Amino acid sequence: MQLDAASESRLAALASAPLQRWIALSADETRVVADADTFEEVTAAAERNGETDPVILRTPENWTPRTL
Amino acid sequence: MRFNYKVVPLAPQAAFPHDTSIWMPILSVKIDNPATHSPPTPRFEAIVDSGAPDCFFHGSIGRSIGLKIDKGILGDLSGIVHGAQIKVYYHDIGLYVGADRIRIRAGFSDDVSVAAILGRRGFFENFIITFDPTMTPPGFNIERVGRA
Repeated sequence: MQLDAASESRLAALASAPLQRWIALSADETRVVADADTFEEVTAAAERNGETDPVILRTPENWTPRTL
Repeated sequence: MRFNYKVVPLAPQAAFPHDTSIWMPILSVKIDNPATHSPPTPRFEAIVDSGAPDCFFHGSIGRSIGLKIDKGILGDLSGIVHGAQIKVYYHDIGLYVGADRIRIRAGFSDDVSVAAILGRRGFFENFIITFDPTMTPPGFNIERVGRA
């Protein structure tokens, strides 16, 4: 699968992120800027780390394919 | 408006041993709580899923806008895995998709494994979604319908 540089960075960031956590990515989605137990906590942590426009997601228990 | 799919890691699978990542139709959205006129959340990732009957959000996102999750309207939710069933609580929220804000009723639960899922009721009934997986990166187009 061909990835551009930004997607490669996003993939590397997610692959190294802790599982079953709330993750805040930088606005360009290339770096993890914070992780926490709750959505509110990760939002606050991202802001403390200087990211005012994060993109937040929750990492799964593993990265197996999932049918929702 | 066109959005690219987003890439996520993929654990090794015997059937596709060379695939270490996968494109997914993920959209960054925000929500708010119209009952309290809360500000919108930061952007978070939601999976666009026409197989889901409704929109579902993790309870942690709901609590961040002041929802008392278990005070919502109780419902049950099952998935493709036999026997798995969770309780969800429905609340009325504002959903921000790009420049649009729509009022929807959505389910909240701490037992969903992702931040959010955008399903048929609330999302697909308000937008025409056209998936195009033929390009790299794949993408999807979103067109608002039913605008007043």
